[in-house]
Amino acid sequence: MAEPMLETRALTRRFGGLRAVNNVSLTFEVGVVHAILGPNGAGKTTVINLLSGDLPPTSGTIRFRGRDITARPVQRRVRMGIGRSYQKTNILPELTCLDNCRLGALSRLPGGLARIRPSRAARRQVQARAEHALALCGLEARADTIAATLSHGEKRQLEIGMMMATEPTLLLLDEPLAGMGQEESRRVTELLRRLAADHTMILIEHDMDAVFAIAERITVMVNGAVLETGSVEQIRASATVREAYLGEEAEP
Amino acid sequence: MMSRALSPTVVLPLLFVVVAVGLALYPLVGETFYVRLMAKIIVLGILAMSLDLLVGYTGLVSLGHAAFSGAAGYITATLILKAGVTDMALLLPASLAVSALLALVIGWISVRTSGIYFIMITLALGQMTYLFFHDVSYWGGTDGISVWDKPVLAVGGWTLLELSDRMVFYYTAWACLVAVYVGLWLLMRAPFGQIVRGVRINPGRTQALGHDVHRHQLAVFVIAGTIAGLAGFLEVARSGFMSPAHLGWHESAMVLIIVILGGMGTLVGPVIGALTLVLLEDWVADLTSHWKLIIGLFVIAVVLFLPNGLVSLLTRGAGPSWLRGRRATPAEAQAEGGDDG
Amino acid sequence: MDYTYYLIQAMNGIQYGFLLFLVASGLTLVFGIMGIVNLAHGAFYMVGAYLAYWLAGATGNFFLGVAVGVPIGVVLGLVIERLGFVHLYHRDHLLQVLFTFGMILVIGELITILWGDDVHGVSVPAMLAGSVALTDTQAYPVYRLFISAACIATAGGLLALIRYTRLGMMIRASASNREMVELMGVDVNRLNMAVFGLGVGLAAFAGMIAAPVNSVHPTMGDDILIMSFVVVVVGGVGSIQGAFWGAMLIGLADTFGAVFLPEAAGVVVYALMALVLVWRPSGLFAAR
Repeated sequence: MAEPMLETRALTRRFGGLRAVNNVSLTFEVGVVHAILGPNGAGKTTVINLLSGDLPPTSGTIRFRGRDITARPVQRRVRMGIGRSYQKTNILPELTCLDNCRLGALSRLPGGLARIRPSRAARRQVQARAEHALALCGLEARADTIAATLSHGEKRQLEIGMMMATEPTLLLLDEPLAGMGQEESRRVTELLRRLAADHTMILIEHDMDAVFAIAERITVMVNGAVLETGSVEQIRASATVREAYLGEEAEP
Repeated sequence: MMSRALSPTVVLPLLFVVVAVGLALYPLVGETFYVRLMAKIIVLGILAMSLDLLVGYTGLVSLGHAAFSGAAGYITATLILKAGVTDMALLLPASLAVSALLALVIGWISVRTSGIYFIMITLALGQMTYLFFHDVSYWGGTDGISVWDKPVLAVGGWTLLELSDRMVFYYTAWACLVAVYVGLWLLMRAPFGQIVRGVRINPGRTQALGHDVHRHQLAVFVIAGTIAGLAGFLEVARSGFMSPAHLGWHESAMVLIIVILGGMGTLVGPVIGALTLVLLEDWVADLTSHWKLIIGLFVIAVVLFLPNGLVSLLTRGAGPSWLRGRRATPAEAQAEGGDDG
Repeated sequence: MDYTYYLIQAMNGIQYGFLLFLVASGLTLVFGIMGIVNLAHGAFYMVGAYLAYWLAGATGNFFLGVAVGVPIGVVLGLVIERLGFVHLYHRDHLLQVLFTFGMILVIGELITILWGDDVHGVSVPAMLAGSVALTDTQAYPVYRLFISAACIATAGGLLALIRYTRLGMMIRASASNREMVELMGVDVNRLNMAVFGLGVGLAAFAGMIAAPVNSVHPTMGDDILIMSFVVVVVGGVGSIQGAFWGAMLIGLADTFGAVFLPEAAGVVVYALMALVLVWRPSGLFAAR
């Protein structure tokens, strides 16, 4: 088997006495859309925070393409190719959409003098990346719109565009469809499906239609621990999962 | 009111050109007393611009900024007085190096914190620097240091600049003001400045887009401290005097007032703020010996009625929106972010 | 220099620490509950000292002066809160800093107008004027012991107030979750006034009882303000417990710094603060 994109070993995070994430060992294969499901408080967002570096784990390790990144700060992980989007819209409201994406694109610029006097080529490249990311998330018509004035759904799209501007290979998506109407949901699901073609994804989402539409593997978490991991069919068929979680939602 | 077609990105540089040309022409018409006052305003304007870089552009409210200009001033004055050095090619780099180094140390400790902590820590570390120059007798105690010799720039026997000449000093300081403005304006337009803007608006998100927030904050802190050092050097070259009061937190707070009064995040605003405050002080001090009372009331009035500064009267909302109204309560911020399903 | 000398220094350090605690606890409460950075807090300490100077002279009795002065100080504080601070709730810290700095200038200048620029002294009340002999040659002034005792009593009262009263309950709830308290229907205006009045009262009281050992002058508010800021930063913003231990640490460090490193006395405290912050960026007892 090829080297996995991301691998966790006995990952644990405590908040005081609570084990929000308990001994989670997961493997995320290259090119696969891997969804994490579970009831509220199962520790899904905490897992994303541990993978992105927003939170340090209490114990356990994280390996990205074979390299141990457990102690690496957020920005280094981003530059290695791990992008994330947030559950609560997290953009720079007073900037234009293009400038929001440009900030992501700038992370690909080398440090030092290049950030003060970039070459013409580098400038063009940043601009092209930002425009490309904006086009990817479907907001090219909104390039010069101040982000604060976007509709909720558009802000969620921008959220994804900003992440894409950092040119990630692995996408950590924390409820990308949160708070969206049906039409918006459909559009963003379509966008995710397109991105799935050439990116690895770890996806948290409550919208089961969307999950079943794009996910290839599913992990179900309960109380901070992994209940079961398998293909979509396996999880759908799993009695344990039905009992613990899907039961309520899957039955009419 | 200006028409809407004039965006701040056009108005602000234009305004600086007007101010700079005005300052350049003033000595041709003004009385000696006011020319001296203008020289003071130029030096203070450089100091205030450097603080604007921190406060207005990076969102770091420092209450210890005078420490950097003061430390550089002390180095300049001490080198002149105790070592007899007047060569500007030595004095200027030495004082800039000291202020940069001090900013690196204080910045390294301070940028690890944010908000109220950052304010308190820069205040305390600035005060520590004040006490260092105040308590250690080598630096001349409360009375400070007075020097009669002024820096001279000479290359191979050719005297280029003699700062003891009031007009030479005036235009040297003026050139520094213009150079600092242009330098900072370019810097803030460069990718570095765009990242710094992101750091101010949303540090968490900027980090999640691959940028090292602390390193950018520290870089800005050092740049601002070094420019403050330039102002400190010029201050000694102007007045021949440096005392602990130049480093005290009242001085830092006054520079902060200047930045707000003029309009933060605009670069030209701080220069206009320095002009306004120095002229006001001069006028009020003539009226009453209790001029501090008037200045205090003025400061309160600025905070209550003109938090975006004088420049905003011209540009309508050029200032950062986060100062404009109330801070959003967490509940509102959440509503802004949408519900989370 | 035998150990008695160090004992005396330690007692001085602790006494200073207690004074710092009274001032810093108000500073930390006003920030923790009201969300306001109050640079003018040191000015209330100074106002207290001047009230003690004025009232002790006018009434001829120091204690009567304190008894009359504390309410005057509190009323003054509440007037300022109603007139000025109400405009600062939910505003940016930067504006709060500048507004309260403006107030420092105004209060300082008003004091100069009323009492002049000179350094004044307040005499130790006769009944506390003596000293306690520690050895044949060294003695400790009774009045300093009185300061510590008065501070302990006040601190005890403050802690009891916070722990056992309804106001204290609201203060604790408000420190950990302000929005929650607002939503619960507590009259935030009155809570703010109570907290602010309490803070001013503590600072003014500290200024009064310290007046006989320190001189009374127009920059005294600044000195105590900066030290209190250091205490709050070291202890952790918003934490009363932190303010207490921070105050003790800083009081002792300042006193012994002056003993061992007279030339760099002022720097010791700040170096200590920097060390604490490198170790714990949000203070020893961070509220959150």
